[in-house]
Amino acid sequence: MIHHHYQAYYQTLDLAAENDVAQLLFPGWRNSLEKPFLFLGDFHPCLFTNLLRSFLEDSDDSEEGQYDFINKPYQFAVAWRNASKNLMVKIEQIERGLRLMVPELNSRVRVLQGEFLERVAVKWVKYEGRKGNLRGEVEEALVGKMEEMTCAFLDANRIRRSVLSEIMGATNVYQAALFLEALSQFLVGFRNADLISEFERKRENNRV
Amino acid sequence: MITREGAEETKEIDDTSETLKCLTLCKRDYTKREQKASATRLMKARWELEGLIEEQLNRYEVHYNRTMVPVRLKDVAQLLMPNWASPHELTAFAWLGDWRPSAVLSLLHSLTHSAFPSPSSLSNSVGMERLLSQLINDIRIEEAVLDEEMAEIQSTCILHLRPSPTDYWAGGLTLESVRSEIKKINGVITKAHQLRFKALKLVVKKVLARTDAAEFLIAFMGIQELIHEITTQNRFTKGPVSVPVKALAPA
Repeated sequence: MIHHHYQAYYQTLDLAAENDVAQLLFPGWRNSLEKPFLFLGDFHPCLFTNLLRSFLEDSDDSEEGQYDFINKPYQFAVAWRNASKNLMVKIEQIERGLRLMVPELNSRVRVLQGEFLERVAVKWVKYEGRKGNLRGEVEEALVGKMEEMTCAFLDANRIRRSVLSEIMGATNVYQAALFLEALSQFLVGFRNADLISEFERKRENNRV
Repeated sequence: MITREGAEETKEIDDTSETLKCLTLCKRDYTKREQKASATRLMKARWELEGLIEEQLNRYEVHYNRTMVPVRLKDVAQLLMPNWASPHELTAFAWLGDWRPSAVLSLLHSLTHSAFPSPSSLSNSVGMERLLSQLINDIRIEEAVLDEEMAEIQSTCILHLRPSPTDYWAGGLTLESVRSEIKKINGVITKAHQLRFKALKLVVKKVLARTDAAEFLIAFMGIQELIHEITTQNRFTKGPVSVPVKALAPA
């Protein structure tokens, strides 16, 4: 159910991107707490695998006594104990994929921006920096690049979506529930109104 | 007598030629002085140009040093997605909140290829071409390193910013934990700014001659302004994005 919600959320982003990708890459509706953590418009896909890993690593040294048994059945408490070897293999596989895909996306954006500036430079020389038709031609170039940027954004979302569904596929129902709970808690944390207002007021004393 | 007269005549002639000589000398002096003066003017203009370029570079340096020091935590978000720029502008050329360092060098590359500003001195220079592509390569690598650093922070932040699964009641996000993450991100932005300035300095000081550097700075500013103008006009300010409700219905 929650998984469906996430999938629907990313599909919505995809649809909106076809309308105007720039507003999704630099979303004004995100608060200043969230913005620094966004990668191509949303959270980084590696965040999902890191969360999953943290469950597996925590389970090694966690004490049963610390767990909240009152509200949760025993199955949740032991969900990560003796997690199958397959799950570890699966995580590594997903991570390997991400290590290839993420830098590839970064360089794709770089190439797209480079191509755009190159075209602008050519026009700039052609019209000797005088306005004239320069504006129109640069505009055309920009519209064209936005379309290609949309593809890059859709790919970033596709990666996020597929990492999520692969994790859902690799975990059992208790593990998946705990995973989604933690993910949602994490995301909701960014929307904590008290924290945001404190955050926005807070001065950074130790300057860099 | 004759000898005396002759001597006087000779003297007169001597005087005349002396005067002539003097005149030519004076004239040569004058021309020389003129040349010297204009050379001085040229030198002065050169110094002035150098001074102006230096000033412009300093301005960039101050700009990046100033923006590097965020006063409040939320300023980091402002650095990454500044309000003054439209989303399209940022999409078109921003990297970690401002122009991409490697793009400056590529810009120079394509400007020189489109015969700017003096084709003879620039585009034919094989040495410069080689130097430029070497620099583009180096800067790209440094960019990729910073991309990696940023990705590392963004993807491990969940480990620091969520309640521990074994300590369920410890509460969610705390200001302290956020602060340390934001600080790391700010560190990356600082390095990005330094890289930007480095790229610009390389172009202006190493690659280009003075007059070309001036032309380049003008084009660099002009192009940024142009893109800003274009992206803030009606066509690109579409208002909030929306998705038709029908499209959201489960398939």
